[in-house]
Amino acid sequence: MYKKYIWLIILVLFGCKNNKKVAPTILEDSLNSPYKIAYAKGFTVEHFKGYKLVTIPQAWQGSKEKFTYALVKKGAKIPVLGDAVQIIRIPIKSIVCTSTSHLPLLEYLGELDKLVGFPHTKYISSPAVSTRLAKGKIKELGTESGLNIEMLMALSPEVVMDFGYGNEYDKYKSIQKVGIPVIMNADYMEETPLGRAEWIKFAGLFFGKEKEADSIFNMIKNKYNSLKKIAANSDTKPTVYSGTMYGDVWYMPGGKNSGAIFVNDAGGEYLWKEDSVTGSLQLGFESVYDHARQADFWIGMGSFNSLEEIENTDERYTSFDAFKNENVYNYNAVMGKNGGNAFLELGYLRPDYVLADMIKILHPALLPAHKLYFYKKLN
Amino acid sequence: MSEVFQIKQSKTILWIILPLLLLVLFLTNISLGSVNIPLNDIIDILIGKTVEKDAWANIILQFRLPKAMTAILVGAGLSVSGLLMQTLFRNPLAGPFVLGITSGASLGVALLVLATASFGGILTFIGTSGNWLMVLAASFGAGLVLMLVLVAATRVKNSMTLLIIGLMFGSATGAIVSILQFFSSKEQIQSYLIWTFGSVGGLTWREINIFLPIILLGLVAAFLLKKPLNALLLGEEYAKSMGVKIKSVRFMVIVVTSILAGTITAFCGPIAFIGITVPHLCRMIFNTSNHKTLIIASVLMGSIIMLFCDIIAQLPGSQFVLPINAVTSLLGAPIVVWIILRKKNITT
Repeated sequence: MYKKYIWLIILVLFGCKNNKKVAPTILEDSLNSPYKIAYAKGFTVEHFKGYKLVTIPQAWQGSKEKFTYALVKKGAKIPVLGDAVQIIRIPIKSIVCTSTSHLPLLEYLGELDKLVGFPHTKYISSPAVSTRLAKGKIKELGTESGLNIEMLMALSPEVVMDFGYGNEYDKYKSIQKVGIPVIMNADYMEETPLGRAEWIKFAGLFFGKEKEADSIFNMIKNKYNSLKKIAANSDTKPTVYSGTMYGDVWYMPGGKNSGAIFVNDAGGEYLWKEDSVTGSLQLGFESVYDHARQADFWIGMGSFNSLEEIENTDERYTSFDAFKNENVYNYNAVMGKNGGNAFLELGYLRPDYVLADMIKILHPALLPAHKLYFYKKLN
Repeated sequence: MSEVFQIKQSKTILWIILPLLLLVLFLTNISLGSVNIPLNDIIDILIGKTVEKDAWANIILQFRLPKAMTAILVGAGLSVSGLLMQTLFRNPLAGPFVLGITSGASLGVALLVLATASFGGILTFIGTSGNWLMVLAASFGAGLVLMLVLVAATRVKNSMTLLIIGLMFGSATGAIVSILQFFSSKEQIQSYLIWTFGSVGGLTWREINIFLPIILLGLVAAFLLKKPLNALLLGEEYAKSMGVKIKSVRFMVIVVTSILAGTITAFCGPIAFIGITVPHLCRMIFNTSNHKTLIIASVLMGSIIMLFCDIIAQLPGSQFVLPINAVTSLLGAPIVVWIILRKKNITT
């Protein structure tokens, strides 16, 4: 809260110098687009005279750096806000994104034509983006080791939308050094599916499409909540486990992971729901086996495409009841031609699709007309 | 006279203590894990009786038993190959991996995991063929480096030169792995890193059916080499004068080591320090450099230490597990330092 007051003081200090006739526009602005962020915890929006202030308090786990952007309309006067605040002129006309989860945001806002470059394009699954890529409208900006800075400079987009983990792989600093503003997108830090989907409002701000973003999110939210209500009517609560072994370790989504939330909202019982981890638990095989061998469903296990593949990798997977009863589902039904997974792209923006899939898997009778979208049953 | 007798007597006791310790640790190993299973139920399961919870039988028979057996084979195999290398190169810091075997195996796995990026998700790729692809890649890489070392072995007279060549092969393959890593995605680097953590729990009976005979074969072959190995300790010239065919012995030692260390690395990933530490421990407690004693002692000691490391890695009572390679390093490095400090010097 106190941060708001600080900005109020800044507003008073700087705002008073300007002529006061502009003052009603603030009021009008904030009345007309009360950009309420209901679910997402990763960014805040504040409205000021002539600009909006967007803050990402934590772009990654344990980040001490705060990212603050002042969104100023092109042609409008740039406010004096100090070095800590990056000025972004909106609406932006060209952008480079670095994560596939950014792409559906542009697509849904109808701003895909502003996307001029993307690194490691083979992970893209969206047909619309792939088409533009094939036509040469989107430039490949280097492969695995990340963004090629020289190619980026040659392309000189107005902004880059990036993400960070706070480690040596982060590129945003070197991009900033060459004078291109970097918008940090911390959507992956959101703990709830709707919170993550609400980042469409974040993207909407930069394209001047708050209203569109708002209505897209409301549509998704309403669908999600009505699906949740349908699932609440189920009489049974099938048990679910997830994840797979890498080396000696079974990576099990934690009890506060979005995977666990989906299972719960779909009227299932996630077996590690008591746990408070948002990321993954690292478990030994036997503790998973002991807890989940009689579970009804095994949902989400990396990139497996068939039961045979699972059995070939480690025959011990077959001693689970879910495997024996062939109640095994994975989220790789929609794949791009180069191996990009739509679940890891569009799935973040459409939690309603994911929830519908989950309900269809756990309680097929509740959604007789629904066809699985992201998920498929392994045979 | 009495001193000699005392030494003999203490050795006899050791030959009773070590197998007993192995048995105890074996039972401890399979009775500890994330899930608590009472000891009498474990014994019932092992002798084939049915227990009320069939899940327990599965955990013991399908998971803990293969894991304990893998640990024993890994410990025995690595220790013996470490011993062979230390004798061949007459260098106390030599281990099974000085010939670049691990680096070769790493290169194979790195090529598989990191360089197959263009095929899309590597995990899909590995998934379709099970773990076998990983094993094949590691064996191929280890075999390739071994061939190069063998060619070098026929050309150089001196074992020290060979050691340096082996180390250089290791550095070169390590550099290629670095380059591959640089051009790989985070996910690929992660799956490569997971392999480097080492794993003894990943083998099922199907894999042990292949793993076990190969390791046993290697161990028997090593034991048959005990006499020329003893001669080598006195120096290559001296061995020659005793009628030992240096070149063919060297060749055999390298082949046996490569089979042991290469197969283990292929199935379980690189596992550090066991190969260096265990032979020294054996020399110290048995106070001998006779390979007849040292090979058997290394098998026992290596198995014991590996079982112990695995117990620690399982963090009994918790749901979590540690990478085995980290545990062996954490335990092995201080032991080597301790031995050096205790003996003031270190010899083969």
